[in-house]
Amino acid sequence: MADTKAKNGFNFQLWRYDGEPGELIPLLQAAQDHYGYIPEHAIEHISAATGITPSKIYGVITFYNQFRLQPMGKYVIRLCEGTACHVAGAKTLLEVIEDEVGVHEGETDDDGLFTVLTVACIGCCSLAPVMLVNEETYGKLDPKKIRSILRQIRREEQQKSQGKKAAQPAK
Amino acid sequence: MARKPIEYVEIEIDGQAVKVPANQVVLWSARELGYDIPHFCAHRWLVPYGACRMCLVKVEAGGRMMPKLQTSCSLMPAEGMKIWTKDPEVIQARREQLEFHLLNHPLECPVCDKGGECMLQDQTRDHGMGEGRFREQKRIRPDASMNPYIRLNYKRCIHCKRCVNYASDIDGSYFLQFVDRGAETYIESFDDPAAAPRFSGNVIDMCPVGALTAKSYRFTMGRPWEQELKPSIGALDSVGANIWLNARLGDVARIVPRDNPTVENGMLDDATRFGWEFIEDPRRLTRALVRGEEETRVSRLAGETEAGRILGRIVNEHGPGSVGLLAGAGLNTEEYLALKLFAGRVLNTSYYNLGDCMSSIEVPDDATLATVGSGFTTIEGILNAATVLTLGCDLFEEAPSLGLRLDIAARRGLLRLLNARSQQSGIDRFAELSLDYPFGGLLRFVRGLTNALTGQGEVPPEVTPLAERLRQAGEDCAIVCGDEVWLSEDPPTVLKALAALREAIAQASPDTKAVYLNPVYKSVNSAGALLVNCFERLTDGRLEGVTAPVGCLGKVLEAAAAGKLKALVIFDKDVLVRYQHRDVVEKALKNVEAVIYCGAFPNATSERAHVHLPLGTWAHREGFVINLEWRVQKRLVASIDSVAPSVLDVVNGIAAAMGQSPVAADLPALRAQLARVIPGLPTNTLDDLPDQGLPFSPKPPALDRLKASTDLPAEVAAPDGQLLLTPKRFLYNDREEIRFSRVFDKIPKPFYAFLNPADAAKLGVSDGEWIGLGGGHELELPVQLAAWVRPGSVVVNDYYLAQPANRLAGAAPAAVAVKKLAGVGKD
Repeated sequence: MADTKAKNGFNFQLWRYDGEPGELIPLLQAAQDHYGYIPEHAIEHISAATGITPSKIYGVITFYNQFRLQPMGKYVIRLCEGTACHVAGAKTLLEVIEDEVGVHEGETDDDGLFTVLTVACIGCCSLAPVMLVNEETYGKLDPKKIRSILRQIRREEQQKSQGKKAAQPAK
Repeated sequence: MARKPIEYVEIEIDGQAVKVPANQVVLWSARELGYDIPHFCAHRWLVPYGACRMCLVKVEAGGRMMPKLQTSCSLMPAEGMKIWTKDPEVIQARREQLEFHLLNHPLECPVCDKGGECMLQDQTRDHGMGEGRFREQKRIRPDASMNPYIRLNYKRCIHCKRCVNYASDIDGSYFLQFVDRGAETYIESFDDPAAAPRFSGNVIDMCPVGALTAKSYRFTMGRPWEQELKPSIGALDSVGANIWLNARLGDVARIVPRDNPTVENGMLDDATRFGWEFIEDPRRLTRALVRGEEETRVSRLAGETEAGRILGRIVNEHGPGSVGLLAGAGLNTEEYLALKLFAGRVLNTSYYNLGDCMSSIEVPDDATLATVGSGFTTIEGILNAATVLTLGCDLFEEAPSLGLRLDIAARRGLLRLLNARSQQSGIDRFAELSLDYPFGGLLRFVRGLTNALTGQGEVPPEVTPLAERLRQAGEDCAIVCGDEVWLSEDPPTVLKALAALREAIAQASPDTKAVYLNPVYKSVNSAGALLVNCFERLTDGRLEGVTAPVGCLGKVLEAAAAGKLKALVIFDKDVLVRYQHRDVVEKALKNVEAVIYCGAFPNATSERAHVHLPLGTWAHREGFVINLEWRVQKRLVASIDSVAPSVLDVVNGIAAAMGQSPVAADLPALRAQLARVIPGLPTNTLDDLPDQGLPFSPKPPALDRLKASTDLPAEVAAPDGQLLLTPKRFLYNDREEIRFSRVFDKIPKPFYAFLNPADAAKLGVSDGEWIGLGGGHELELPVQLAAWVRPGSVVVNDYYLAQPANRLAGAAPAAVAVKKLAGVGKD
């Protein structure tokens, strides 16, 4: 497992790059897997290895939705805005999420806990309206339910960090 | 030419059988034949992109109708193909497509600078719906500056991607880039603020809408239909880019390319395109300056009278050959003839030199004239050669449009580009091989290469890889040489060595049918100057009452320095800064009794003159110039309010003051003398000169066989602790077109001492710190680290008035001591 990860790692990919055209996107994906987003120095490294100018790489990054130039939060909220969810009031739910987290769609909150995104359809329209928090799916949402889910996550995180703080002096 | 002959296929367009080239997409062939197919993203410089979908046509190929309309910009013709450009289906598709393009486009044609020459405007009129149905919010984004010359009016952009493709595929600087996706896509500039843009202005012409506009033109200079257009020639290099000089209400408004596919193909460099403000700069001399006890401004007539009085006295007292005459290379050919006649008939001297390429002592001998006057090819010929060898030049700086066209051809694999020069240059990027040698080592390199090819004499090891490639030069080979020839101690010797190399390649490469040698001259009309200077030997014509020059620039200056000449008459040549041996010029200016200078702007030399007479800029003077392929091209006078004298006015004025008859009545009289040796040259008016120019071949002395030396000069090397001083020609320097145009004030100009990082580390200097060059710190310059500099060299701009390189570069190559300065130098 660790071996395959290393082989897909950013530096390994860069080192392996042999001038084949069409490898920019795998390189960017490797960078994003490694850092969680594409930092400026990764663009410079890729540019130096491939000879593609930073401006062109930047253009490619902004073209594809999968690439991010900012780090993501620990919990990525993906609210579905597909037809079924839209009809079921996804727009209101987005406002609730934005209010609860305190940032707009596409942004990450200050403590790096939540990132709010919208997606077109996640394929479980029978549960509409629906959202994903990381890999976890939550269906048949309403504003109250959303607030309780997000607050629950926040509480757990606070407990974890307090637990750590409490555990540390004991060591 | 190495290219295969074009094959034609027969296709049918709108029911008419036509023959079109098999290697060209249908869009261009159809447009050449007069079929109007609208298009936005396709451009003749670019590879097909197929984004705008405006050029859709209905196609039947192989007897079957293609199921959908095809983009003709990416459609290759095939025998028997049928194409419809006016089918109702096509017209409907165009109309709908155009509606899409207009969705976000604002209705602001009345305030848009492009209005009147806008593709979108024209096509909307011809193919559009007449009204918009889009009632929603249009996409908006604030305007932005793309670089010092260009501003983006974002909301007008239709995402054709021409400019982005230009920046990546043609210019290669990637300075523009699409960011984001879909309707939100916008253009962002990645211009490097520390580097001067070189070819960015071309995107203004390419933009099919008013999105990319020139800062110097937008909102202030009027509309396209108000401009009065005069054909002229860009003054900055010897390619002679064809331009339209636009004037409105008596003021110059802009320069746009005249699109001569055989010369510059519409590719202007930014210095040529944006450098026009100097024409009407208030610092241009409009009255004469006379320096006696004190400096006085007098009328032009009074100035000419004073000049005539001085010269008349000297000619009377000291007899023939007591006055020297020098002229720069920015004048027109008729004006050189006027000066030659002036020197011969009025000043009665053979100490004259016209032009700036042969800075050597002796007049070029027959072999040299045969080298430059024959065996050259056209710019098209260079670009169509199988192999191009550039020697001792940085084409991006010396002849940018030629450099760019070669760069594109090499990138697309149309030719093999081989390259040898003293410093790395921009054109290396797609060259198959780039070699370097120390500055001043060109002659050694060329002779070594020749020896390697002929198998005679000494062969330095570094030339071997190049010689191997030249043995397979292909069907034809063009050698392009440049500034390092003219900066060498004796340009004729280097030229003859290059001629020997040309013969050696022809013999060593069995398939090669022709080898050409094209020197890139220093200035726009260097070839014309050479032609008139050596009129007796480069043509079969004769001139009454004039003698051949006794020597070149060096000879005239040395005679003046030795006290043999009593006066110097200098036309538009900053000889004090531009001649390598500054000490000789200093002595010459000191030892003569009088210096008469004639030029549009003050410079280092004119400040030493006793009389400075005004002269028009190139925009004020009619005439023809000859470029590096010996193409005769016309320059007409722009309709601007400011009037300024021509060279003929000035010499006639001085002649009159000396009591002599005029040199020539008018320009047609001069042109008539030149028309005897330039077949096809119209005399009365240059309007009749063909727009694409007139190819011309001089008739140099015939030579049976060139006797070439195989001796290698000693290797050039700087002693320990010193660096090799390398004056280099840059596009942006202190020439008056650039110095007196305000638009260039914001451009970072290369007035630095460029050092290789390794040398800088040894000296302990970093970017921006100052160094002193020479024992007495003759030059003090800020450092810029540059990887392209050859280790052991220090590169300086060869034309920088504040710190002229010839304070040190007495005899090239010169090794100089370099020392770090504590503070800022005496700039």
